[in-house]
Amino acid sequence: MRTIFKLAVCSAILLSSCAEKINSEGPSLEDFTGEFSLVTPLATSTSDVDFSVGEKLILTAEFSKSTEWTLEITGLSSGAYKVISGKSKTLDEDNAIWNGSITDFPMFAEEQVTIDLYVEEADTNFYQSVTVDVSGVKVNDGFLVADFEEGFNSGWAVFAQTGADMTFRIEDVAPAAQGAHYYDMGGEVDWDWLIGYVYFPSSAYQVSTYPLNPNPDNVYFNVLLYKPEGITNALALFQFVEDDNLDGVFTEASEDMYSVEVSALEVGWNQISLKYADINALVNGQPSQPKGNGVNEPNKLLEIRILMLANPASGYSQLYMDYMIFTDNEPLNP
Amino acid sequence: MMYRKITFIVLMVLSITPSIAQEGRKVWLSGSSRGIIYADKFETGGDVRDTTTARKTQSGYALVDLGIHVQPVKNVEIQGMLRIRNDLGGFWGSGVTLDLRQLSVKGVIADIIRFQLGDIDYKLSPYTFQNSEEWVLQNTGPLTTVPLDFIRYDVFQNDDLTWRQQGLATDFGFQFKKIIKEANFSLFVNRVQAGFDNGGNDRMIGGGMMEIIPMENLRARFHYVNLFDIAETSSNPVALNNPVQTLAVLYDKQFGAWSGHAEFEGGRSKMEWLGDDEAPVLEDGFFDAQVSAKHASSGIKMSVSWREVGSNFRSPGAQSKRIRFNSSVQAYQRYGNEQALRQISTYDLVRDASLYNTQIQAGLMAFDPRYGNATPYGRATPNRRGVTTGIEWREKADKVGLNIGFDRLSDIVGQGTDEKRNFTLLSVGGDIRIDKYLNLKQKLNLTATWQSENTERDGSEFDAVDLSNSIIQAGLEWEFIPKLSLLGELRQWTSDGTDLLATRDDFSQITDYNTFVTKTNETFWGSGLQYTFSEKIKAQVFYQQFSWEDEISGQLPYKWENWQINLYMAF
Repeated sequence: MRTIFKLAVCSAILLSSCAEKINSEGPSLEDFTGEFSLVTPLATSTSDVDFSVGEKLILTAEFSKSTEWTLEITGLSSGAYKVISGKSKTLDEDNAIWNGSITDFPMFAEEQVTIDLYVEEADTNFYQSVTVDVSGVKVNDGFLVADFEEGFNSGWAVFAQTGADMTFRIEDVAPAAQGAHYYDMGGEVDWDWLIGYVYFPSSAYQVSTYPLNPNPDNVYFNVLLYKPEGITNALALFQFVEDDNLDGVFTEASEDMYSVEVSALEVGWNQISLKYADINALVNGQPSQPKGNGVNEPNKLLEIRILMLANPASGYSQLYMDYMIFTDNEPLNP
Repeated sequence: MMYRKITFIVLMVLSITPSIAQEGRKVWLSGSSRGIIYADKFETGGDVRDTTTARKTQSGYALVDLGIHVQPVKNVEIQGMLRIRNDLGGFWGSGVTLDLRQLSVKGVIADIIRFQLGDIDYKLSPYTFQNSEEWVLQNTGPLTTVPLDFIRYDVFQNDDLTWRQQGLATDFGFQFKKIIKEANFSLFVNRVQAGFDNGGNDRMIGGGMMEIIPMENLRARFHYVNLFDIAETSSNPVALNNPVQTLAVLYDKQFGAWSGHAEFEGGRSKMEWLGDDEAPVLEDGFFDAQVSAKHASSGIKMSVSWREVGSNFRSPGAQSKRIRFNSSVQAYQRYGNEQALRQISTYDLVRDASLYNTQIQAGLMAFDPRYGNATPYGRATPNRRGVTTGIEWREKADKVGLNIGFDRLSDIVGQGTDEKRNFTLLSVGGDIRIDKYLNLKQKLNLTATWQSENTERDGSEFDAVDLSNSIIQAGLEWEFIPKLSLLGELRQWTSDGTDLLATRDDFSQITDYNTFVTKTNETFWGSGLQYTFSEKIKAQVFYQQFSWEDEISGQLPYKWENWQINLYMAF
């Protein structure tokens, strides 16, 4: 029995003695303490970056200690804005890489950008700035419905009531969310909720239905809407018309139409991103039973309808629209 | 609608019970019930009057846990328990909730293999699968124990340190005539997390124990526990795999009037993320040797142990904490005119069930150094080496008891430095039954405890840390009229000093350090009356007052008064 006992104890000791012998774990405390100073100034991997071909901009710098830092990237023409922040001793490809995306709208254009590095230490406020040329903007994967940069597609349909100050048109003045153009939907109609609409049929793209993934969980609808200062009554209704029987025609009584109402917008550009599977059929704003097969089928999407609405008693209303795009698997990451 | 559904279920259960019971004891009921009413008064301290936080609130609930046991055949029992709860103000069914609290099937196959399926309570060793007690809650008094016991019952944190999980457990054994006397086996598997798309995979924990008994007083146990993901149950290509295996030897021997016990456990763990080439692989080991002795006639028990737990030892079943310190308190969550988030306090820990963890967690959970810095993950806390000793004495007639504990631990490896932290824990506690000394008919019991924990590390001004936590607690229970008792409790918790708190990434590796500075003082006192209908049925009225301040954090001090009425019963 003593042999068994000894064998068991020896086995347990052998099991437990596999620890790696090291003196310390984690990064050195020396990297987190002491006076702050800049060891290597802020630099960029290139002075001219083309995001449209997949290039990325790597920012580098080194400090005397690990510190909290912020990089603010601002487009000098567009006003686009991106923030990257972190806490480390160095800036490198692991923590300070820019793929042309934004934090706040608008999106970057082909322009010069400034990159400002801020460090706030207990007794130090450090600042350094560099500039870079963007020769190609980030390309977002997906099916682009409209960015209004090439004018009004002849396949689209527009209707505006004969109200006051009607502005259903493409604008080329600020503030575009992407590129230089956006669509302005505004006006005052005191006898009807409908101010106007724009229809985007699939035929405008020379396809029978939108070329989307059939799985509604993998398809996201994205659009950028701008609410001007002082507008409180704007309501946008998005309708997704499906051709369930694929006969090329939408039959309202027997085919699905899914809808989304968008009203609670912040002043400025808002990104609306919806998973196609989450879009319901609506009647008077309330969820209802679809009239077709009741299945959200993005690959049978025949037409997208955007209706600009407002309470007729509420006066003038207006929204801008830009960059409508379907993306796969995740919302638009502009 | 809900109200009618509940009424229907209760009536149905009550109507079938007598008829079936007549045929033999095949269906029976068990359960418990309680009703609690709180009247709170909260006062924010500081120079500026708090005009935002509600000063007084009333809350409470009544609940019934109704357990139904069905024994369809001799060796099988089905147990289901429904919880019906009605929050204060939920009249006419509007605040009623009906939950299935537990459901399990247990039995014996062929009089050999015991099994349990569904909600099961399971435990192995302190280094493999055990729901270890939090240091901060090791000693509670007559008043704070009452709500804490309610919480522990609600979240299934049992005194026997088992984990309540959903799964399957089975155990069986063999007896032999030669070489060894017995071989026992215990196996289990539980689901920890359901897989979901774009998230994690299905996560399971499973393993068991093989016990060999070569002679009456010697046992050898091999434990194996693995927390693992089942690949391809979600779109996540990364699967966790965290096996732990240990070998334990237990030996008992009688030395005259002394009963001796020696126990040794050693083992190792491996934590890896399959499918992620950049993830680390954490491997480490531990050993723990302890000796204890008990003198039956004098009532003295002594123990001493030495343990060493590697810094990369990861055993989720043993290291998962009871308290989720990164969660927010429910009562008075924000206070002051700035509506600052209120920190967790010792009073919240005995009142707020939402702070408690009920699931095995991978890696190392967050902890608060004020409430246990030396052993935040129990005995299996990684990166610790040192001695633990204890002496207990209980007078034969149970008139008086005394216990002293002392731990001296240190880091095995420094955190960010070669300097190691040293941890000193000391606790002294006792109780005295004055009624037995004075020959009183009714109980008069006094308890007192002092616990202290010190963390220190020498070095430069950047390395050095020094943090002290301590608690003094005194309690009174006096049955001044038969069945009617006066309860009293005083607790003072202080935490003072500095430590560097490690920030860990998803792989539980240190990535950063945050300076933790505190000078916290928490004082609790209260008294109340308790009427004991029977051991299982009690009614209580308590008045309690709690004050909190931290001179360094910038958080406003506050005082919290509370009237509490409890009625609970088990049946």
